[in-house]
Amino acid sequence: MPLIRTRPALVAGKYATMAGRLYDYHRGSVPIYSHDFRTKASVSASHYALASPLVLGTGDPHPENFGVLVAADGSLEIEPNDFDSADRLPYLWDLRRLIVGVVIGLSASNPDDAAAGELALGAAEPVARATVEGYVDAVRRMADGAHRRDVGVDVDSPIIADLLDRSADDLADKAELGELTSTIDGKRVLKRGVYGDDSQETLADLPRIARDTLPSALEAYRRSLVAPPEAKFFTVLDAARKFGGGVASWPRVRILVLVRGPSDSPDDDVVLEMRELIDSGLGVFGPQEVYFDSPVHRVLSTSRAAWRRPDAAPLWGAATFLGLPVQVRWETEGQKTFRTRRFAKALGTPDANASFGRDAATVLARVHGASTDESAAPARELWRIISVDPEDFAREQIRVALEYARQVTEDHQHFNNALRRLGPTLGVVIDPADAPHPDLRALYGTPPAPALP
Amino acid sequence: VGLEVFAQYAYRRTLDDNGSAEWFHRFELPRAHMALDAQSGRARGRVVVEAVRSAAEGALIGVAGDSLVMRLREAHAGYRYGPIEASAGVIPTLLIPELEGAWRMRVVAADPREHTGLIAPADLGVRARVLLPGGYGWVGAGAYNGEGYDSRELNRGKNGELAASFRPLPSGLAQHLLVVGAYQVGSTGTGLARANRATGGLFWDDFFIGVGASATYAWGVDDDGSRKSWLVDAFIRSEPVPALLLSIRGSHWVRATESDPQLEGEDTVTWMTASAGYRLEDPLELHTAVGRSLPSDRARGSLPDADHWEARLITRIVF
Repeated sequence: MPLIRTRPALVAGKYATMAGRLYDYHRGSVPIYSHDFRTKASVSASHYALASPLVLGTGDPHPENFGVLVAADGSLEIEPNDFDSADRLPYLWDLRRLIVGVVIGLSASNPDDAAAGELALGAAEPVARATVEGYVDAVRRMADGAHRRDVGVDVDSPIIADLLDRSADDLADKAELGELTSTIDGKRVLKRGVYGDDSQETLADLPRIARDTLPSALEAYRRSLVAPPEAKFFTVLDAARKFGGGVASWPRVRILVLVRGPSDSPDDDVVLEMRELIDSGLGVFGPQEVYFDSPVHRVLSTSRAAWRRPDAAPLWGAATFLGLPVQVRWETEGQKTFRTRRFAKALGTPDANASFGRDAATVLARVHGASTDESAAPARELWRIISVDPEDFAREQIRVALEYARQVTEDHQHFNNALRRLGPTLGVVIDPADAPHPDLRALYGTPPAPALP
Repeated sequence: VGLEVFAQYAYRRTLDDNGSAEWFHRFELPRAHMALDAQSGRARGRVVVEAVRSAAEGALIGVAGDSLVMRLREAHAGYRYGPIEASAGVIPTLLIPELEGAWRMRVVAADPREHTGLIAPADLGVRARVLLPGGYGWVGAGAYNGEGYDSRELNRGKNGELAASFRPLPSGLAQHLLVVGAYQVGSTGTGLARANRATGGLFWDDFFIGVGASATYAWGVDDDGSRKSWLVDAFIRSEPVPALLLSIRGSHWVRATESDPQLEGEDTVTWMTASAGYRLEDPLELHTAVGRSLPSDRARGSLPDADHWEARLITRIVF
């Protein structure tokens, strides 16, 4: 609610995005999932629920929150790449949200081939089953003593292999520099205006107060890195306010920063994305209520514990910028995210989707296997309850996920109806008294007008 | 000027079916109220401020970190003319204060309707009460925003409340017999989700011993207008010898009445609290309390921390 009141135009952009594809609605609907999980036994009840341990979870593990990360040694790994909702949570929260996301992802697959899309959608149950089985298998292996770092994905499965290949190609080409920057008089600068295929994705000038504050924020960010490069690596060359991108995080402040990189040559300049962080928003699950000191601490702790290696993304850090907690990461085409609309042709078959679901669940299980102060080996405790009846466990998760996926589909229609009836901020009356002060208003900026479907 | 402070040390042990447990303990400030009353002739005003954590529900971002901050709990202007009293502003709703008045042990446990969020203890609006002659009690009506005193109005709908507190035998030994009933009708959120409540209770509210039972039925819960829920509650409190304060309270909440063929059992949470306290000196009390919260299997997934034991050491001071 505070977001709607203080930055209504940005929230309207998020809602407009959610009104489009079903999958985008799902991406923006964590608060509804949270509401449903807490109030509807049909979403949360289970013979396999565990109050303790609360695992380290990503909170919103849908397919487009996984992708490639480029580790410090240059190797590419499939990892979770969004920790906006990461927190300590019941393992079934994450697992069920992942299965629902994989199933809803089927509706976004094969966008240009209706028959292939129908075929994929018709395979919802086997795809859900493969996802659960991937999770169960990985938990079992860790419970049997396998180290987390040895629980990996099938790099030969079609969707995984495709993303790794394209990331490797674009990493070598530094494709993001071509897309986001131009060179003027031998100096690289960020573009302004629309920069991608989506007219909502634009770059605009950053207010002066923000530009002046960037160096100190980047220095704090530099110190948060696992192996910080020297300070001049982060010399600011240009910066721009970024609009669009993401769904849940659409209203947050995003800034692209072009920095010097390893040398003065414009060929190795580096683009960073600075993005505002907020609370995980998941609420209280355990007696301790809060497990992190701040959003910065939450994102740094959860990401590094979740990845196979802490330096899985060496330029992934966090800081505070103009009083806002922010996450900073390398904006590179070498770190691609899975996009369900690209699951087409050979990548859009039921088998390819099932294989992807299995791999995503394997990565999620690996995240849940991270030790916490509550449990040194959570996987053993998860396996203790799942092993009571793994087949029944799978049936239960599939049933709940398919049912909830149907509800999400209906909710999307209700959401669109509500948006039409109540307006772009869902009926919240904007009070001028809520307007932020001029500096903050300038930082929020003026996003492109929402493009309602 | 009035002041009431509860300060407590709480130890909580959360359990699950798997035999594991997690514990946590902390010092807390469940209540810090400061009240200012003013009266001139028939006109009166009252302001109550309370301390709250600025970041609730596990949030990390609050005001100045997660400071305890003061907020308005009550702020109303009133007028009393004979048996009629009316007030407007941030006002206590009619029902909850009456139920708490019968319980008299707020230091040990809040009313379960407030605890579960079914009924707000205060809201922005206007209310009026008519005191019945002969000490028979009162009848009252109120109109509120409906979002509670800690939220802004989100819709054009206003909530209404009709309530009555009736003492059928206002003299003699039976003067302590109290019947309370209330009906709230209204909505919450921008979607105007239905939020109606019907409550009835029977109490014996003698100073030295109090016994009571009440029930509430809710149509529309948590912005879900179709969900129905009900809650029953009973308590006994006593001061068997001067300054010794004993109480026991149990509540059973059916979170959703709808059955689900895929799910076994009901979606319920049950609470029991027992306490023993001593009034060390007239404004200062010390209590120990032990509580048990027990969710049904069906509710356990939604509320993983609901299965717990809790032990507390609480002080209360009131001026």
